[in-house]
Amino acid sequence: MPEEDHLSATQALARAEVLDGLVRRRARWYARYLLIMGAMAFVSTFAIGLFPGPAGAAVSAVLACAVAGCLVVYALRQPVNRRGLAVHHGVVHGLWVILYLIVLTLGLNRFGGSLAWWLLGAFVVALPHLIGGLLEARR
Amino acid sequence: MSHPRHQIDDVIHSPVRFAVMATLAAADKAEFAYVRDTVEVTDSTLSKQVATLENAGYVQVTKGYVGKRPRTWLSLTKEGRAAFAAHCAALRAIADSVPTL
Repeated sequence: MPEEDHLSATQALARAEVLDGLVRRRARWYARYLLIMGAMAFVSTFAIGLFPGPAGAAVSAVLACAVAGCLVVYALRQPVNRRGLAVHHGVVHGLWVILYLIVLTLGLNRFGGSLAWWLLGAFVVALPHLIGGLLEARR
Repeated sequence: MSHPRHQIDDVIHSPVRFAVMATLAAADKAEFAYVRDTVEVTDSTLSKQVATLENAGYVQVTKGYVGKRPRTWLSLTKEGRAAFAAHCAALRAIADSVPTL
């Protein structure tokens, strides 16, 4: 009996590990989500500096809405969210909003004509999603 | 009553229910069809086992729509997560003990 207990416990734990791995692999969609979001954050922020005035704001807003809309649909269609995704998502998007507001405020008030500022700013704004996406891909 | 065998949760101990709990333990939430395919059971088998887990307070079932398609989501409750962790700890204790011949 103890032998049977030992064997079935070992088998159950091995099965749990296999299932954990399957869920993790299927939940990797979130890495793609974050990397695309990071690319969108970079391009939409840089567009504001590249096309000063209403044109830049319009390009940035249209791009952001289109990509974010597609990503929401993509996320809703996924069959599994890995454990802890909601917290991770909140932290990444919170950081993104804070950095975006800082880069936008300083850029519009102090560095309006500086492409270098907008390039650097766009990179900084994209960092939360890019780092989050890379960490997610390595999980 | 000190043997870890006594810490085994009878609700989770069934192979299908254990697999469902293990799948959900790695997820915030998972779609019914995904769990069915991962655990490799039929719709009706999974429904019955999920009902048992739901009655025990271990699994939460949420129904909704994505577009026009109905979806059923499964997730572990806080009690379910704690029960599964305790069950796995008991299994580990059994697995780590040297079987006596």
